[in-house]
Amino acid sequence: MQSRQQDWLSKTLAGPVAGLAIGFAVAGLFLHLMPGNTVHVGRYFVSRWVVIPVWLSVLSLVYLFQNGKRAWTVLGLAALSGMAALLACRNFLH
Amino acid sequence: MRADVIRTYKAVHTWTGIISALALFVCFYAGALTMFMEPLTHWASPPARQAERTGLDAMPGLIDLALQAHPDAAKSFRLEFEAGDATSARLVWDTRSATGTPIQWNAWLAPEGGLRVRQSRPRDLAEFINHVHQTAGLPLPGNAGVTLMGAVGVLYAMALVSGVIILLPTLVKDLFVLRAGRNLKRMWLDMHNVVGLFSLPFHLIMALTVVMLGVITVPAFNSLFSTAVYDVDQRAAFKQMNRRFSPAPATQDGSVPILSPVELLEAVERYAPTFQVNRMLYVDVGSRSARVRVTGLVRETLSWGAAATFDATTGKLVDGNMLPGAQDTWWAVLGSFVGLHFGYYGGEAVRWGYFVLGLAGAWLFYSGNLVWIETRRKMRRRGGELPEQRRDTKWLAAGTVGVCLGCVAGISLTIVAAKWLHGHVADLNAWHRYVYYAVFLGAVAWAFARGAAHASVELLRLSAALTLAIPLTTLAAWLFPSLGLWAHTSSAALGVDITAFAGAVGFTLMAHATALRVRHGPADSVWSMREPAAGEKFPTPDGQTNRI
Repeated sequence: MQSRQQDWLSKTLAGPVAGLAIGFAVAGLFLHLMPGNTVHVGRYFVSRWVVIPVWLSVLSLVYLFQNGKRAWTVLGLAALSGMAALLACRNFLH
Repeated sequence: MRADVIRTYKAVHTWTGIISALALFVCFYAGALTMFMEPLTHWASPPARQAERTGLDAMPGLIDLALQAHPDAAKSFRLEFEAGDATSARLVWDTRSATGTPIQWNAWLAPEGGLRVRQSRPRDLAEFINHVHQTAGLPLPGNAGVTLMGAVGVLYAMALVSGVIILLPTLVKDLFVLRAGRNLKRMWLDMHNVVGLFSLPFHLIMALTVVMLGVITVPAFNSLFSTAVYDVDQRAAFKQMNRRFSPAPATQDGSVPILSPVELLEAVERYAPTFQVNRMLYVDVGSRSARVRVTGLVRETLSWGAAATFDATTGKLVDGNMLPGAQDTWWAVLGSFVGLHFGYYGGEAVRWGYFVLGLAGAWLFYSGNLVWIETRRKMRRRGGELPEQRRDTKWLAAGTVGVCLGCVAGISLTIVAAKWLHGHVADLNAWHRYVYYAVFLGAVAWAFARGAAHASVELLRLSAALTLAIPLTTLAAWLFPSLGLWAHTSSAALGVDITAFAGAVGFTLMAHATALRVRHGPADSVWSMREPAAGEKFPTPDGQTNRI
């Protein structure tokens, strides 16, 4: 197995940036898929909370990736597919 | 766990820890004190202020009189309660002077009847300590301090995760072992690990909530989020729903009577029987759209503070989203997340628990810096000359001592100033800031000028003396009534004195132990005040290396 590369700058950017997009996607899916009315102030605020644990987990654990490129690829794909799922929910669920 | 992962996360832990530690120390020390804001406020408020309060039964009459004499106040005025006492309150409103500076007015009923109005001076010792808690004491405009602490919270979360990762491989072996032997670095590290791991749930809660409270002060975050999750129509509908005070149509319908404060508080208590009121804010009194927002706490509920808006003319609940008993599940869930940060939910035991965990957290960050310094210490070879310590370790040691003890000493003196400066200065709130920053900045400058070894002892003694001044001030008030000080004999105020006395004893013991170390401990350290004569050689006994 190849030895792990530090790639500090690349990973340290990938974590917060892609992590925030993933956090938004997870929180948005939570907001749309939970039962009840989608437009609701308390529900919106609770969903906004969901961003934080997801974001912090990604940006803390990003250094586990083999290298910076792999981190960007995996997290970027996760963010894109999450956002696509969220868009689908927004357009087809109501 | 692979060795390279551990190595990487050691670097992450070191850097995030070093950057965030000092700010977190200040936040946690001040935060521990905010658990007892009401006793502190009570300790600091002069008895004369009690006379300016009016019983709730007489309040409707006072409001009528005050609004006749000062019709402008009808737009917005408030009742301020002292914690735990819902039977009387201060009637307060704000105006602006010609130059735009806010002026606060206070009205009460004289004992012989009749309206008394006086420009009042806000006294917010507790509010200032809370400000230090929220911003690490950084004097930044608006919410910038809270935003910055949100960023520090991100580093704090990274430090927690990386700390757990690097501890995992040796967890079972290391956790219950305190190697209090000759290797003092090992002992500090063991204590840092054990305190960190056992308070990990508390720290995870704090990291999550502080990042959340920080990011919501960033408008870009909020607009990005709402754009991501809602389409245009949903956003518009949400905006409509998220109005806190429903817009008041400015009706000129003369003097519509409002309910009395007692009736409004009864309306709150129907939803939350243990509601403890702090403030009632009235707007547009006299019109049909008069509203009152009641804020306070519901102690035994997991929430971050309760509030409800009523129609002041009918007592009908207009907004109960933050009122336990009236709110729906989403708001209750939200309240319980945030409530975990504040620790009001479990009575006195949880309050003291948060106080202790807060102080333990401050110690955790302090000890992290000590381990960093000790890891980079240059040790003397056997029989060799005393090496010069690295400059970065000297600076971090001085910065750690100056910031941490400067915060402790500054807060103690600013508490004391609430009594000694009363009646001698026009703006006590400003003086709370001056006193704190003078002591804090002075301590930091002192630590760099004197070096960590000397300053650690001296600043600990200063902290002990200034903390002891809190109960001594109370004692002086008893012994010498002519001083114009005051001493409350309630258990809350005495609790402040007793806790401060215990703190002063603690700082004295620390100063004593530190003095022994800097005088007699190993000289090859930033924590030694002994400086060798040129060329002097110390014999080193075996196994004596690597000691603090």
